[in-house]
Amino acid sequence: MSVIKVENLRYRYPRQTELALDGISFTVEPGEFVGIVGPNKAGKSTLCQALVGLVPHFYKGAIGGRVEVAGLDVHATPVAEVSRKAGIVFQSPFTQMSGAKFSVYEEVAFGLERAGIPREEMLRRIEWTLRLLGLWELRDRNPFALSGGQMQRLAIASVLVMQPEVLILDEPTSQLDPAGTSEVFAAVTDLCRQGMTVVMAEHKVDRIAARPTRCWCWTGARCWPGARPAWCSAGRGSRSAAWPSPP
Amino acid sequence: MQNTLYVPGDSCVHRLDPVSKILLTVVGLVLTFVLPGHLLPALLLAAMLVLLGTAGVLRRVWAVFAGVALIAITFFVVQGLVYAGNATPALTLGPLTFYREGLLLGLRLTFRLYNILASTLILILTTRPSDLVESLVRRGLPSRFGYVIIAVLQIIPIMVEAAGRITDAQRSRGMETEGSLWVRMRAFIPLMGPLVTSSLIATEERALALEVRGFASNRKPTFLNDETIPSYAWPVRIAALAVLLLGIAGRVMLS
Repeated sequence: MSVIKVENLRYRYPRQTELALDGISFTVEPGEFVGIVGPNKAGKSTLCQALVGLVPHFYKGAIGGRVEVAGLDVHATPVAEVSRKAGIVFQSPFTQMSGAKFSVYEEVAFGLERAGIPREEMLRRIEWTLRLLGLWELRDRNPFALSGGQMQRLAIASVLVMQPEVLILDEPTSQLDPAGTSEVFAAVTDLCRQGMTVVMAEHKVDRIAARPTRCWCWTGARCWPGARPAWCSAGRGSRSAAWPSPP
Repeated sequence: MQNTLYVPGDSCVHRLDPVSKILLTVVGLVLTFVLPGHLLPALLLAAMLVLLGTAGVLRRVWAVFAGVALIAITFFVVQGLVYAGNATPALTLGPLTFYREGLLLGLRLTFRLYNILASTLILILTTRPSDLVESLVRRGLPSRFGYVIIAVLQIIPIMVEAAGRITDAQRSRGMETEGSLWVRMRAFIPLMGPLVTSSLIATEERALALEVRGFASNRKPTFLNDETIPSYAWPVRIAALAVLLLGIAGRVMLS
């Protein structure tokens, strides 16, 4: 049974005339890794945000079609509830820190506290998550004192600790140096091995293509699975390669 | 990144729960304005300093006290010279004559200033901000307010850092940002645009991140840390209230 079902998704931001997403349909199976590549403004981030309900609950705007994640009708469910099933990690690790916690350990607990998770369960989940992402040794550090890669791993940990069924990553390495990028991809690889369903929008096509994956290319609000470029499906990606034109 | 005045420690004052320390602070602040004369305010200040000394934070206290010394000196100078009730000359320095009544008023105001500071520092220097806010949220403070209070402590230094980055970028493009006061003021205006814009963008991104971490959840929150209230908290609270009542009663009887 598909963990993500998107049917004819159409979305337009408030005060905009053009559609940001235009007739998107796809399904994702449990444990699958899906890479989404495409140029800027293609709608990758909008799609990621639609999968957790930020579109339209946070941004408003006009939406049509249906998005179902882990059995929840995302359009009809508050973001706080969807976040227990599907977590999203954004581009900037810096702005994903709550700003209200003074250690890595406490930062990971932030969402659990808001979700009303009992303390014993909280402690168990935090330790598991921090160890999984290699942050256990850094647990007493101030989140803002971490490197970019460490901070992004902390952002992933903060989402993962909610034990979502789906992890959505929206260009999580766009602001990281090569070392930070490698840290994040290594963490994602580990998560995939554990059976986590991952949807990842990313510009670093070579990294995406280097793993068993389904990869979709996007241009101008539409998904073009038929336009999958050779360098993407063959795992010989290069960021300098030209983006494909719609057929 | 140390963004607060909190001084880590394990003294009995540190271990006292935030609510008891808030009570101590409130009692100190009320007594500051209730206690008459000079002796009682001096005793109050001494008691506060004993507590701060027990907490091992006196070095930080002296630094704060020294920082406001100019205000205290101003009290003496202004009141000693121009207080309306001045009648008895006490000291003459060249053409200036200081009067006893004004100097005593200056002393009273100085005690108030330092008692306010000491009362507040007991709470600020010995309580982790997150513990303080968490304690209030447990007692019904809406967690959104709690978040705002605590986030401000972290966000301000981050904004200062961002301002530094923007200034560096502007400097690298030839803008003068250092020199006379006029040059610095001129450099301040072009700084504000990018700083405010980037802060607004960061705020929206942070709002998104909080949203997907269940910040708007209607569930009853739980807490990572257990609240520990030491056995001496209640005696401290009762003693503080008793002193407060005595102070108010004494003031009423004297007036």
